[in-house]
Amino acid sequence: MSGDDVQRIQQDVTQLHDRWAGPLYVFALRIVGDREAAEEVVQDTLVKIWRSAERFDPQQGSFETWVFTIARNCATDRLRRRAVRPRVTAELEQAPTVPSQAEVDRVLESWVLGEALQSLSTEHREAIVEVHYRGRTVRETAVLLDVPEGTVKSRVYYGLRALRLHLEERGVVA
Amino acid sequence: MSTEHDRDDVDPLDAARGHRQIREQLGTYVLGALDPDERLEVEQHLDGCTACRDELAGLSSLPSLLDRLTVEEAVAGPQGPPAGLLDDVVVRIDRHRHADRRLLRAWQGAAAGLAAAVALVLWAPWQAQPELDALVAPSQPIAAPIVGEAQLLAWEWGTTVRLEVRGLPERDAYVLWAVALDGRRQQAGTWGPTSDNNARVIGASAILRDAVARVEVTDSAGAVLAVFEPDAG
Repeated sequence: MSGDDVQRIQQDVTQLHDRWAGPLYVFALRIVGDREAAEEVVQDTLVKIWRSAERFDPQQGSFETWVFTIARNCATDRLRRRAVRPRVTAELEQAPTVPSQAEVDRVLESWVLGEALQSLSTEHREAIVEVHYRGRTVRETAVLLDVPEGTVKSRVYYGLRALRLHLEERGVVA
Repeated sequence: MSTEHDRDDVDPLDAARGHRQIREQLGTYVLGALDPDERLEVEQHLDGCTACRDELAGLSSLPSLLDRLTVEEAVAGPQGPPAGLLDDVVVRIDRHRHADRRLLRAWQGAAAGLAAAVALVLWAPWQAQPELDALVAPSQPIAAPIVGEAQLLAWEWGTTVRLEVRGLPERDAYVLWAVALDGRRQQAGTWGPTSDNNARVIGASAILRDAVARVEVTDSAGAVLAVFEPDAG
């Protein structure tokens, strides 16, 4: 294999990896339950996408659904391998279900949201975490962070605006 | 008295300052973190200010979206796969490609001296790069000394099966089957007895690679002699 080939593979795979590895990992972790197996599922899935990309048929559904269908198959394969051997043939006949578009969207949106939160400044994120996730009032948050209440309000406001912008760019909110 | 009317009476600079102050409360308002008094103040302003109502509408989908993450995920960021994963994937793809070439060479070399009859069906042009899976190995053979390997090659139109098997029991004829996940069976090739009971057969089936559950060798009466299933390794 020539050096050019290797370079091309690396480029293609890096693109696939950067776009899909994160959400696929979250998705796989939910099915297989442990990190090591989830990592293997992501590997299996990326290899398979790369090798069978030509088989993707847009008329059968979105690319996202295709990707997550492959991931679900890989995850199911991993689970089967864990099952007591020898395997029962009937088990193989039970084909894994195709994830719904809604389910796929949800995984992707959650992933993008997590990224968006990380893209905020520490001050903005901190204010949103205290107020939204920990359910604190503006007053409590102001005391906790040792800033005026007005600062808490403006941090939450500008933080949410930045978040919204980030999500808009990635098509999560209209 | 309407708030619109009030605004007409105040200094425009004060109004602008008040407007900005209210606007900066819209985040905490939408997250439900304001005191009742502050909430009322915001709502009164919203009644008379289209721009702030639009701004609020833009923020209103965020709380339910934020709820999809746990506190831990929100603080630490989404839990992604470890850093070395990309390299591992590149290595695996690279290895597959090397394996493809090696096997193709071995196959070409072996083609001239096939010990068994060959059932080779080709409907598609060869220019497309096939996908090779050497995923199947014998499992639970009927007679202990049967050993071998079946390799599946994925094509647009179906699957090619390359079988190498040794130690088959003596029969008048052998049949190679591809069995789909849904139970469909397709004959992928036939051959006759060989002097050493070994066979190298290339067959094909219209069942797509991903749908192939296993490959079987039977005799002409349908008795299963060997089953090849995806290796659990």
